[in-house]
Amino acid sequence: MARNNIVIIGVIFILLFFIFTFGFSIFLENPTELEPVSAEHINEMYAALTPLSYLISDEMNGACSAVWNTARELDGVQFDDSVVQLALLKLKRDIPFSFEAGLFDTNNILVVSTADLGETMDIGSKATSQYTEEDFQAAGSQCIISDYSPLLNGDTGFTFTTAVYDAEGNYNGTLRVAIDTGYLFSGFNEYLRTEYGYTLWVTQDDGLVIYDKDTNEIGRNLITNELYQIPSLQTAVKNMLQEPTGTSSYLFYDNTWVNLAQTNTVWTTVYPGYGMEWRMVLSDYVPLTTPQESTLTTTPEEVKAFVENAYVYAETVGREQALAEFNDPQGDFIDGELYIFAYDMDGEALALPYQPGLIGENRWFIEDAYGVKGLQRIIARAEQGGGYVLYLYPNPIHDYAQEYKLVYVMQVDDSWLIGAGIYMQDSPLSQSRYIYWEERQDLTYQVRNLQYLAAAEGVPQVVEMVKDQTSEVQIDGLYPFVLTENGTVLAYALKPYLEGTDQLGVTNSFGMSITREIISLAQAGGGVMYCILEIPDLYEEQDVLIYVEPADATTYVGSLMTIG
Amino acid sequence: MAVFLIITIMMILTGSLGALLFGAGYILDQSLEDPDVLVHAAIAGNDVVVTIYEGGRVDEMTQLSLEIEGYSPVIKNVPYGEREIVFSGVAVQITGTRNVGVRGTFLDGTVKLLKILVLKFT
Repeated sequence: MARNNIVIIGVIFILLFFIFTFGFSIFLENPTELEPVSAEHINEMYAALTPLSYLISDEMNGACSAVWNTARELDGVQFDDSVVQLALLKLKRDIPFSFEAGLFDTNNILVVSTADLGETMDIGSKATSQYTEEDFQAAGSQCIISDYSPLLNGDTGFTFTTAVYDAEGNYNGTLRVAIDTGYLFSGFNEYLRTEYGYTLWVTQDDGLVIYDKDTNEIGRNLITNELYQIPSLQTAVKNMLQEPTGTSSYLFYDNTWVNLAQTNTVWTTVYPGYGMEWRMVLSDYVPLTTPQESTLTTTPEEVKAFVENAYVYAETVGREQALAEFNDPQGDFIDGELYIFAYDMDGEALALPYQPGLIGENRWFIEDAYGVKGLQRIIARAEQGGGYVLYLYPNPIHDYAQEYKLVYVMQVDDSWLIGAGIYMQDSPLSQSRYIYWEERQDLTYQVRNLQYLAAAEGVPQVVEMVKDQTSEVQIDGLYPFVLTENGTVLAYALKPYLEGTDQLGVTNSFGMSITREIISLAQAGGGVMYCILEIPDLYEEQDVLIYVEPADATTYVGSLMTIG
Repeated sequence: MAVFLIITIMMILTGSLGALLFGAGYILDQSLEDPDVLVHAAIAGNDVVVTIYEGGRVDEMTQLSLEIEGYSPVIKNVPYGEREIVFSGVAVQITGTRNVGVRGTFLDGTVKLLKILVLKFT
C-alpha cells in the first residue's frame, strides 16, 4: 500500500516537473517587459508615415470636393436625364478608390447608379444608412462620411453622402459614393512593407479597425475584441485613441499566434472630413524576408494532380467525409504548403486546414492589395469546370505577407469547389516587389475614363481612341482594349493586329481562358484580375494586371499593365 | 358529368406528369450515384476537356459524348488508356451558362450518363 502511494506521489512530481518546465519555457519565449526603443528608430518611422498621412488627407479632401461639386452640377437636374449617368461615371473615374456612385431619392431609394451596367447593385435598393435634410444642413458644405459599415453592393467600406436639390432649391435626394478602404490604404501599405519593413493599419477613433494587411482583422474593435485583451496592447490602444499623434510599444502575437513579440508603433491622425478622425498606425514588427532563390519545389502539374486526387476522393466518399479529411491537419491532403481548400459557390469557407477559425465565414469579398477579389476569381474559374488561377494570398510563413500564388481549382459539383496552390517566390509581386500605387491609379483612371467616354461619346469613338496611339486616353505602360460580349476584339493597343478577330477561345500556357474570364468579370460589374499573356516584342509570356468595366450591355472596356 | 370527366383527366395527367418527373429524376440519380467511370469536364478556350479518372469500367469505355445545352452532342472515340479527351472547338461562340452532360459508351454497347455539370462559358 505504502509502495503504491510512493509511486503515485512520484508520478505526480514528474508531471508537476513537466508542467513547470513547459510553463517556464513559454514564459521565457513570451517577454513581459517592453524593451526601450531608440529615438532614431521612432524618428525613422515618423518620417515614413507622415508624408503618407498627408497623401491620404489630400485624397479624402479631393474626393469630398468632387462629390460636393458633382452634387451642385446635378442640382435642378431631373434624375432621368442622361446627364446624371454621365456625371456619376465621371465622379467614379475621378475617385479611383470608389466602388460605385449613386443617386438616391428622398426615401433613400437608389434611382441611378454607375453599377447599372453590372450586376452588383439593383435600382430600387434602399440605402444602408439613412440621412435627413437636417443632417445635411448641419453638415454645411461638407460631405457626410459614414462609419465603416456594409455597403449596398455587399462589400464593406464607408460612403461620402451629400444632398442634391431640385430647381426650386428643395431637398431632392442624395448623391453617394461608396469607398473601398482596401484600395485607399493597401498601395501605401505595400510601399511601406517593401521599402521600410513596416506595416500600416488604420482605426476609427472608436477603435474599429478599418484597414489591416490581415483582412481578418478588419472590422474588429481594438477595445472590445478578445483578441486584443493584452494589457500592454490595451494601454497602447487607449493612448492611440486619446492622442492624435504618438508612439507606443506593446506585446502582440507573432505569426505563430502563440508567442508574444514586442511591436513598436507610431501613429498620426487623418481628418477625412465631417469631424471624423482616423488613426494611421505604423508598426515595425515585420520579419521581412529577403529575396531568395526560388523555393518552388512543387510544379503546377503536381498541384493539379494533387487537386485531382482530392476530387476523386470527394466524389468517392461524399462531401461530408471529404471535408472532414481536408480539414484534418494530420490528414492525407496536407503536404507542407500544399493543402486542399474548399468553398461553396457563394464564398463560404468549407475547408481551410491552416485557418480553421475561418470555416463557415463568407469570404466572397476578400480583396488583395491590388483590388483583385481572389475568391471571386477562383469561383469564376471553378464555374468553367476548373483550372489555374493567379492571385495574392497571405503567406503564413512570411507573417501573412500577401504573396503571388498559383492555384488549381476544380468544381466538384455546382455547389462547391476544391483547390490547392503554391506561392511563387521568384515571380512578380513576391515579397520585395510591388506595384507602385500611382501606376495602379493610372490603370483605374484609364479604364474608368474609357467607360465614361463610351457613355458620353459612344463606343465607336472610344474604339477609335484606343486604336489611336496618340489619343488622350493613352497612358504610358498601359494597353487599353475594347471587347464585345462574343469575344470580338474591337481595339487592342498591345496587339492591334487582333482588331476585328474573335478571341473567345484564346488561352495561355496554363490553359486559362483569358477572354472568357475577362468577359465574365465585366459582366459581373467589372474588376481586376491577374493573368499571363504573351507580350509581342518579348515573344514570351508575362504576368499582367487586367482591369475591365462594362461600357454598355454588350461591350467592355479594359486595360492591362505588365507586372514583370 | 362533363366537369367530373375533366377533373378526372386533369388528375390523371397531373399524376402521370409527376410520376414521369419523379421517374426521370430517380433514373438520373441512380445513374450518377455510381458512375461506372468518374469523369470531369472543364473549359479551356474554345475546347472542353473531359478528364477520365477511374472506375470499374474505365477500360471498357469506347466513346465519350459531350452534350452542351442547346447544341448537338459531339462524340469522340476514347483510345485505350487515354485519360484526357479534348473536344476541340466545341465551345466556339458559346457564351453564358449551360448545362453540360458527359455520356460514356462501353464495349457491350451500353451508354451511361457519367457527369452532369453547369458550366459558365463567359
